[in-house]
Amino acid sequence: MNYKFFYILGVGFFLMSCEKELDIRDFSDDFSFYQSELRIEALMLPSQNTAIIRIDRSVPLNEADLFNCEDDDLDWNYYYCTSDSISYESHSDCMEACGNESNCILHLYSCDVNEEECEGCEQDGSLLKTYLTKSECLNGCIGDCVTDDLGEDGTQAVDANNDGDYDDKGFLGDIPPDAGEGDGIPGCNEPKVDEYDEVLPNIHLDSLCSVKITHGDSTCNFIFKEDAGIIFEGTEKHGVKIDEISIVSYGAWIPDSSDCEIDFNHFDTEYQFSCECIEGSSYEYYGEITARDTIRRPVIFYSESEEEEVKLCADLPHVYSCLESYHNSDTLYFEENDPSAKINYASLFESIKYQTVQYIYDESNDRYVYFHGHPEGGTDSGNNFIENKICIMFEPVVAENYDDAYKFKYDIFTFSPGYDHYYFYSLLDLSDPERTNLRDQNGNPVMGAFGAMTSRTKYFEIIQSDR
Amino acid sequence: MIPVTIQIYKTNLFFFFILTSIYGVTISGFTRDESNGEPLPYTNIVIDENKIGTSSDVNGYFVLPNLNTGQYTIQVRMIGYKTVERKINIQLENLRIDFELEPTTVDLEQITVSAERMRFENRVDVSRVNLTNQEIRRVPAFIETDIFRTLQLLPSVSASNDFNAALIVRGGSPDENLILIDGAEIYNPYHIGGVFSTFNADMISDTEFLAGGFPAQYGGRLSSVLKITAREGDSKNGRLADSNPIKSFWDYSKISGDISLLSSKILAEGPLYKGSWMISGRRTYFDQFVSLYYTLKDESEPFNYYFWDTHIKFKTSPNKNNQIIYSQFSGKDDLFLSIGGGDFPGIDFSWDWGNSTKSLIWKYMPNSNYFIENNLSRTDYKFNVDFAIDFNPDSTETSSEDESTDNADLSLDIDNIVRDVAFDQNISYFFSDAIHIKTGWQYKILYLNYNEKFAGINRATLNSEPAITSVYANSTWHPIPKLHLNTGFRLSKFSQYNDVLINPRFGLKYHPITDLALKVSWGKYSQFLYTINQEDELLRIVDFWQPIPEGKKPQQAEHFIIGSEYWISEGNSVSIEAYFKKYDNIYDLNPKVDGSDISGTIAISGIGESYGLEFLYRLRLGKLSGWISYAYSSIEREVDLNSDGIIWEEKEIYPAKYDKPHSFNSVLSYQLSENNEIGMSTIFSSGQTYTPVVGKVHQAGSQIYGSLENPYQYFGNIYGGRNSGRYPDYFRIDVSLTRKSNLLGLNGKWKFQIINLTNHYNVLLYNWNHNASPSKVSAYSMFPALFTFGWEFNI
Repeated sequence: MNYKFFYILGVGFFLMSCEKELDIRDFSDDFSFYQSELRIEALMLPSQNTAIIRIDRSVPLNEADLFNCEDDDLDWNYYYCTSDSISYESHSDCMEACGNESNCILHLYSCDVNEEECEGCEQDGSLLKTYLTKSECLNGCIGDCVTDDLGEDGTQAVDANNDGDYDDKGFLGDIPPDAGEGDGIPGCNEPKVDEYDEVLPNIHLDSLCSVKITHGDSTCNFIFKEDAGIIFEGTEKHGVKIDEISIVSYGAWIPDSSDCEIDFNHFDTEYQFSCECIEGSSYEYYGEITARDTIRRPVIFYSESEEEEVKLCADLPHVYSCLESYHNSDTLYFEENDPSAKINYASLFESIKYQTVQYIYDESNDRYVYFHGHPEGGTDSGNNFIENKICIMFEPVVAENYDDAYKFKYDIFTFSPGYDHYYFYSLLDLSDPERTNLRDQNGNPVMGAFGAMTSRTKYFEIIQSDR
Repeated sequence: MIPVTIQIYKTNLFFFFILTSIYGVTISGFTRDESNGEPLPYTNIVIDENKIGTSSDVNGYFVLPNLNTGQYTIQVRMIGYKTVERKINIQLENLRIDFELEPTTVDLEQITVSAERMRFENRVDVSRVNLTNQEIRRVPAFIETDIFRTLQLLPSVSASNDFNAALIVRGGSPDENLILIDGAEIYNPYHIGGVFSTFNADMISDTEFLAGGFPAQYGGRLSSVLKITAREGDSKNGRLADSNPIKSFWDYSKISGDISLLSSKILAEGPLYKGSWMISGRRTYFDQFVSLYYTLKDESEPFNYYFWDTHIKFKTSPNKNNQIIYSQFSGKDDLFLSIGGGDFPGIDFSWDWGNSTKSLIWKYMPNSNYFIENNLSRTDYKFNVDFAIDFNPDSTETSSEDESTDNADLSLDIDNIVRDVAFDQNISYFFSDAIHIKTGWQYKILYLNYNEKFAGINRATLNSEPAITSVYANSTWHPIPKLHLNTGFRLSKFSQYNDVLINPRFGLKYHPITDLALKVSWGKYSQFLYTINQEDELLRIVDFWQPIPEGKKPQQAEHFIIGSEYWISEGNSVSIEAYFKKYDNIYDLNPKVDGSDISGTIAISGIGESYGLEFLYRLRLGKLSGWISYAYSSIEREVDLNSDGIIWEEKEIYPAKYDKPHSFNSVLSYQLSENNEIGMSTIFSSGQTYTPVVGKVHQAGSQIYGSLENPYQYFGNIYGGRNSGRYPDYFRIDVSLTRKSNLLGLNGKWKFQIINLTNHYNVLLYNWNHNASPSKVSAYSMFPALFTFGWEFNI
């Protein structure tokens, strides 16, 4: 029989179902036994001769009040002071300046407009122009009207073809307003609701613990500080303009300057970490949590023309001293769109895994902001190793400007063994004894790590042909 | 102490066999379909007078050895063909007789001895299933008929999910299956990231599937053998005029086409000089619609995808003693994706992979009680990914897929090549109808290359060229009619491992009563290559094949199988098999790869075991046919994942991802009338395992982009026991209705199919959103209800 299939019509899909939300209680057998644990990231930063220790708690899946969908710090949307006719980014700023609760009015919409196009919005140095309603904003704003009142999807409704409705579906079609959008009430997933400064304080362990690092006979005690660390929120790479990238701080433990006797830059020597939470804290059952680790030396940046000499360091008895002699901290200059632009660096064979982090210069605020970072590593199949004593690497440079910025820097980090395992063995469980070097009083692994990240910085600039 | 008389008796018996094999006469030949000259595998050939019989092999060749002189009547039988009966006069010379059988309507009442019955009585292979092209096509399918999806309805085989066609056989990972097409090994037999298998059902003549306990002629894999034999083509119905001078060298019989939702196919066949040829090809046309759409919109294509595959087969028999076959299979998938642009970085992603197999087979079939098969084969599997990022896409014009990588700010190119060149020689020797020995050897050279370029500069290269030399011998002996023994061994030497591996194999089949067979099988199996795919991958997008680390022990498994099979009537049989498969050494992806010794640390060794019970009822009750099966199975692994020398019970002893204890399958078709047939397949099984999420915490890890620079980017999972959770039960009913009709003067069939008739929500995965209190969980499903219909016609 020589029959042949000839399908002449299409597939009909009916009763399509792909994703559906489930009731978390259906999974209670999986997680109901789970109790909050400690996760400690104790990180020495030899290049800055300091350390930062993040002690946080894990969160049971059914914990109900961490994300409460409320604007706890009253910075959702803008506040307009009727007495001075100025808009403020938070309720507290408004209250401080305006002084009267009834005069601080919530403005849901603001005008996103360039400074040079903004007429009448500059008031007492503030470029903020806010409106009570969307229609007022649309009438008065020559830019985009933005709001925090975005509803559950966190996305502002879009009338793609400006036909006055939101029923044009499909790719690049309308986005209709969803539940909670434009209702004047802070809600889940909306900006400035349950953001870092509202959530993280409930995660951090900020007291009741004694935290220290010792080196030899010297000890450094740590204290909790609410703005110990910073995070760049939003990156140019993800569509945020350089000068709009904000810095958010978080709480962590830092050396108590009045009670710290050690430097955090002694390479190849052992440091010891200790954390003990006193009776009465929820985590006293750990007893003393301890770990040991050593700091590894940073990379050196070398000139392309000296690569062969750098390789010859492998034959010398003091390899790192030799490498250091070729370290070049000069700023590099690359022609725009130069496909061969790269930064050469080398390390001892003990450090063959790195984190490379690129920053971009924000000229208007005279600062470098985070651009991107990624793990990197030398391999035996990549011609990286010289006699198993030196690892030579390079970081390719994208020789282009962003937002007219042309200055950049790269930080290349090397890891201590403890942090190396924590970061690079990420396919293992957080409490795997090979991933974490932290142990409680009974010798059980504790999530996290004690270690060090040593960095060096290389600055470079992109030269435009017309500059 | 064995009495001397018994020893003498045994010695005499041995010489008796030798002498009879020397002085007996052999009848050999081919059985073919009279209508098109294609070989008829598993035809039943019986000498009426003494009931000595055999069955033809997959190529239609048979040998009846060691016959005495005299007058005989030979009967040749095959379901669907008229029985041929021929009187022969055997003198002192061997006879070569070819039979051609005329197709006819099956009349089950007339069938007393069939090829299946012959296999039931004589073949020792346990866990074997043969499927014909027609059987494969009868099963309701998602868009296109697929041999892998049909096999997954057998009790010994399961699938990972609806989107992954990889075969999981009795707990073995997909790379443990030896997949042969016309004798050549194929390494990544999937299209569309694993949704479909590579094989075009149109070109398949026979599919033999051995789920375990396979004989010594097969090696290099731990779990199963899938042997696909392609059609040879119509050698009889040439259309060229007799006066045409090329007719005796080449002719054509048929050229047919086939268009489905997914692809267009063409198949051509015809006679060749003393043989036949067949060419089939298939190509998807989704890419053409995409191109047309974006051409009309005057925009560049953001994505595109197509695949194609072809199969070519030539066969010629320059004389009766020699046959030469050339078979070539090629297939390729090509995916292109371009996203971003404007304010966002432009990302171009180009990905193509494909297989190519070529085999040249020379069969020497002297008019005697042996034949030799020589096979030179080559397989190439290539995989290439180009990933390019342009951070300022508006400043760079890219006009084509190829140029995009060159113009990119950053690019990543990955190439993976597996080349397998093998020569093997197999000798089949028939001492008598009671003793058959098959022996042979194989030499295989592999070339495995992995190359990674970042920003145009070579960053990683893994090259190896191991060789495998194997020798095997296998004997089939039935000392008494009720007992069949299959014993053999396979010796293998892998160039990257010092020891010679000895893999003994043993099988036994005993018939206590005529219609009941008891089966036992035991064997050891070795594997020298493995894929470094993660166990819990959802799609079988690509296989990264690697040799076992140099100097380390190959993967090894041991099979114990017992079973019984009861022959109820023709087409109706019940079989029960229990198996225990012990893995002495298996390799998995090492989560702690050491960059200073990648090839030596990329794999991590472990052990495992699987066991189960399988029930299969193949039925043919009047107009109803098909099978019903149930399987119970358990698959457990023990791997020291963190290499600390201590087995962590909760995390390092675990059920496999695809462990599904209970599985019920049925495939049924019913002939409603002469013109209408309905089909239904049902799968009801336990859900797969998953590793449950028990808590959440901020964490850094190289797998989590940006986690080092922003330690509070988002919550990560804290996991419970590895694979200790289980998804809800899987349930799916597919139905089809086939109706014969005549449309536009063409005889044809309408075919309607509904996949997942009940629209059962089969869970593919769970996804947790931890930025909510309490955390939220969503499920993603496999296939919803899908409806397809089409028309099948006969040219």
